[in-house]
Amino acid sequence: MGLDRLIGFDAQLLSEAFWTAINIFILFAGLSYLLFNPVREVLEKRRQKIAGELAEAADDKKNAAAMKAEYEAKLKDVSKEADAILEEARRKAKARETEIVEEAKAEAARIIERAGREVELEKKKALDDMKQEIISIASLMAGKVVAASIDTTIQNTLIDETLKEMGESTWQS
Amino acid sequence: MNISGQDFIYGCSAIGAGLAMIAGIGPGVGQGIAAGQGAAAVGRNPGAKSDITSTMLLGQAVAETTGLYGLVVAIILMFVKPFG
Amino acid sequence: MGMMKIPMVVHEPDFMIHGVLKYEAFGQELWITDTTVGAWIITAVLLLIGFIANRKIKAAADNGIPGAFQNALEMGMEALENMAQGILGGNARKFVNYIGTIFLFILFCNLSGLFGLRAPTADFGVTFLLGMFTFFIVNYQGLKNRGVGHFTSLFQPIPILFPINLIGEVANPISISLRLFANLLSGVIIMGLWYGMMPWFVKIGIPAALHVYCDLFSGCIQTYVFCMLTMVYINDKME
Repeated sequence: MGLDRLIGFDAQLLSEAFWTAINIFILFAGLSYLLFNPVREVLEKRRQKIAGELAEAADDKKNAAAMKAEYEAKLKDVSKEADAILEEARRKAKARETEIVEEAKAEAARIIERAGREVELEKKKALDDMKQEIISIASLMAGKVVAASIDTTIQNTLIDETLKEMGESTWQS
Repeated sequence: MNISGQDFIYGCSAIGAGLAMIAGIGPGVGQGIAAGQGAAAVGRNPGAKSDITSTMLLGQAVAETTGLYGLVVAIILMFVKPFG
Repeated sequence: MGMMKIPMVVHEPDFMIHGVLKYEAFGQELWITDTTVGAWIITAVLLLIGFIANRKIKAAADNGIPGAFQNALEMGMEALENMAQGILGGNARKFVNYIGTIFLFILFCNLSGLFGLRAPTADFGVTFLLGMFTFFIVNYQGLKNRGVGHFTSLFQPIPILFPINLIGEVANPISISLRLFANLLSGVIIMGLWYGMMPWFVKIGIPAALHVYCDLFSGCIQTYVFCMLTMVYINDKME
């Protein structure tokens, strides 16, 4: 009947070795083509991809750091600029303030002066009015006196007396 | 009882196979020593337990070989009957 | 001769290699055995797995998202490459495919005992060939890398050690093939004896533990040892 054996060193051993060799060759070729090479390729591709992404990330990081430094410098500048602007504004405001005060002072002086002049004018006017009045009163009196006596001498003395009565000081103030 | 020459040779082969299995002593002792040393190593350095275990198993598997040669000789004597 | 039959034995223990198909070649009457058929089945299964894996990888390459199967493949591949690199260093790349092939083949052969096949690696024809492949690869690498030095190194350090060196070289493939064969054979014999000679009530549950040791544990360790030793032998010739 069939073959029953455990181990033997004969042609049968070589036959089994032969079939196994065919198996191993097929397996080697098939698995290399189907399994090992694709998997290794995938791993290699992924390794390269990750390396590329890491390099890119490092690049991005460097860029971001540079940008950050730039912005920080800019921000510092900006605050300095703001300080300068504020300083300028304060200075301008101060100058304006003094200017306004000066102007106000000048204005006030002018107003006072004008007021003084007006007062003077008023005084003069009042004096003139008074003189006129006095003159008209004097004329009236004179007319009365003339009416009373046509003696000019008397008239003159009367005028003088009247004028004297009215007082020197009234004239000269 | 009538024993032919063939039967005698088979009987002697069976005895030889039994004697060949005495080779099992060596790997037994060797694997025991390896396991003992492995246990001692784990005791000294518990952190390296997995390394020690795998090295020990590998060494034991290699040390087992002589015993297996004894087994192969026994099997050849019993089944291949080279002297029959 | 009046041999008494032991009543506990249900039937004869069976751990033999059986012929399946007879054929003639070179004037010899040869058999295709059940281990050869088992090896073919395992080859077909491995190629099927490789085919499915290839499809999955192609699919994942299209949408860029690796599935669980591909993750497992990549982990296995990395483990294999690490193992090869640990021993062969920079030369690992050339041998990864071969080591991976024989690793998968031996592993599946060793584990096939769990699926009712007679483990093909428990047939000396199979392991002998694997050892021979190792021997050829080792000596090819030795010749390629050392040239004449490959032969003169047999006379190192003193010429009188030549026979020992020669035996050492020739014993390598025999020792690794016999190691694999004998380990698996011992498992097959123990399982065969247990299934063949024990009464039925100890065949429930208890063989599971034996399978765990003889097929799983021993099978995995011997697969690893075979691949490691193959790489160590190759590395010896790489310089």
